[in-house]
Amino acid sequence: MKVVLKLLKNPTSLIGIVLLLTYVIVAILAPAIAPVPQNSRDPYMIPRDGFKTAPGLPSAKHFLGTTEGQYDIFYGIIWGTRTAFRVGIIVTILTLILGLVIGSLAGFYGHWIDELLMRITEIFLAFPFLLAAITLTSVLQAIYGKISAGPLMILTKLLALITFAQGFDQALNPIQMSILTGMMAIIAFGWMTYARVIRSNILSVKEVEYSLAARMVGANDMRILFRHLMPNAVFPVLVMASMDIGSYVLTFAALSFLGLGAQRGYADWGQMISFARNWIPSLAENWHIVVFPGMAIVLFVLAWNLVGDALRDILDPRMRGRGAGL
Amino acid sequence: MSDILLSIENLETCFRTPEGTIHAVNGVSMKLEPGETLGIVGESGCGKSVTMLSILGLIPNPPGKVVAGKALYRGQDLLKMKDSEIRHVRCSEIGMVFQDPLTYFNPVLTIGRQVSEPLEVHRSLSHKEALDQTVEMLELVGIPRPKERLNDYPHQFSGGMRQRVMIAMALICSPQILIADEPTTALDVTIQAQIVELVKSLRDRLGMSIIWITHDLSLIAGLAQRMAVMYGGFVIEEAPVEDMYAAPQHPYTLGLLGSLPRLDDVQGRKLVSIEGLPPVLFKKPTSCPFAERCNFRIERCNLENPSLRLVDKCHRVACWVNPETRRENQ
Repeated sequence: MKVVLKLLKNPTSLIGIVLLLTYVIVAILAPAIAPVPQNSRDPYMIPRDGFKTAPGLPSAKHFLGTTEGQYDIFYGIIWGTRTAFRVGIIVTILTLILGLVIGSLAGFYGHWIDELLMRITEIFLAFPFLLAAITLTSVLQAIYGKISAGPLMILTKLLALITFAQGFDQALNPIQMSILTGMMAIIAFGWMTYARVIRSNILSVKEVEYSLAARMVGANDMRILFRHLMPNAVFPVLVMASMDIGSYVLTFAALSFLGLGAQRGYADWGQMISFARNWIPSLAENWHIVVFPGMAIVLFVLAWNLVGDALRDILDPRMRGRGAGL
Repeated sequence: MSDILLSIENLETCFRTPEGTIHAVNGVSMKLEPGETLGIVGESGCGKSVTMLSILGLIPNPPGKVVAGKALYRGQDLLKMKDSEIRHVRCSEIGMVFQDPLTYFNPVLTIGRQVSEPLEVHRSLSHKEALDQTVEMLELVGIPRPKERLNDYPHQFSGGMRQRVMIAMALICSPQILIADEPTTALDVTIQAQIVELVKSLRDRLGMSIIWITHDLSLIAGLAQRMAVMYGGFVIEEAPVEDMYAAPQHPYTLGLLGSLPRLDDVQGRKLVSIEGLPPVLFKKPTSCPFAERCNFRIERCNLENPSLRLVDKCHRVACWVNPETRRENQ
């Protein structure tokens, strides 16, 4: 409760929180703000007004104008908020869990387990993040045409269950598939820093006497690790993750921009900007096709960063009394 | 010696370090009867704590390893137990209290959660029942307003109160044996006395056996029935407390007692210190481990390691020197 109060007192984090709340409200009220057309099969597909190539300027009918192919920008931005939250939060949580599990096991058990897991971590770290994500997304998308079962499919279905609340028995359509592959690629190359930080924190707390006391009480390894050690070690990683939500959304937007994340016409900010690729020479007239979706992304990332920054200042005792006026 | 609760036989534990293997415990044997309080005395690094941690399987492996011996608890060998079995023994059969009550508590969990944890692990109780028992136990160890203090964190307690809470945690599953590993060393003298009194009253009420590790000889006198003196990973003398104080046999015990002031001292007696340092146990001693520092040393001491021999009823000593010689020099 104290943390929340402090967040509200600090002007920068207050701006972040207000921005975030606005996004949350927009996401919740999306069907009211931008009503779904009657003939629409999927509310996340942006409705089109004709098939003319040239973008249309803002007008009474299209509040923020239309993009190439007459997709409504206003509708896309509103429903894209849901995509952004969905991708950002789910990717962050799953990346965090993956990193926490790998890092804490390495730190807790040490010896060869530590060596093995940390070498794997380093291998993953060796790839440039965006490049690796792009490659993995396209590889996954190529593979999915050919397989229908196996562990990869189970993973994808699990992710679909979390992301779209879609049952295990239902088949995945290509639109969902391309979003899921993008998310998987980001998760696969995002967990390493969390793993490293949690490992070092676990290492420093596992030799402290209370872990012996917990052992004495009769607790098993998992209980000691997750109940006794984790709460002492996890906070720095949580703060890191809260600051990373924005950057995961940004990465996903980049994938979509390159045509890898969300499919053409899907309500996703990065995908909407990709419509502007052919109109770069004439952006002076068609400024709206970049500015509006771009602003949505920038403000979203900014909001998370402001909140994450403030959270770090509040939770890190070394920063207390310095900076940010907390 | 009809029924024996805990019997440690020839326990050996060593630690592998980059500098070599350290033989911390070299064949310790001791027995504990139901309801009995056994005091274990010795200087730092003589293997007192390691012995106790060994029998509970709490020696980190690697670097530590129990190499030989048995630890029979009600006929079952604790050292041969599987991980899941020994976990059940911890706290629910044998409880342990540690030296520094602050570092042994998890700073981010409330006292209520930590004290009730053994119940959670070993007994399938509802949350409310567990809390009720916790409050009861905290009251028993003399925590004022136990119900309100459940939600406090360890740093909100004073040192003495913390030690009381730790005792509550060790006893909450009503174990048969309480191992107290220098529980009063970090406390000041008045609080020490309180804790000792508390443990005495709990012993009378709950009827458990106690193994009390300390290097404070005076503390043992009023608490234990029997005591063992350890040196260099061996038990070198074992006797009922009265015998030990009245007629110590081993030169080391003599030295220990000689270094303490006594009420019945002749005025002007100088307190003696034992010269030299305890041995570094890089190899298993083949001679008497105390030989180097011993004033009574004879030739045999450098050649053979004495084992415990009965000198009086219930009084056993590991020393080659003639008892008469020792007594004369006292």
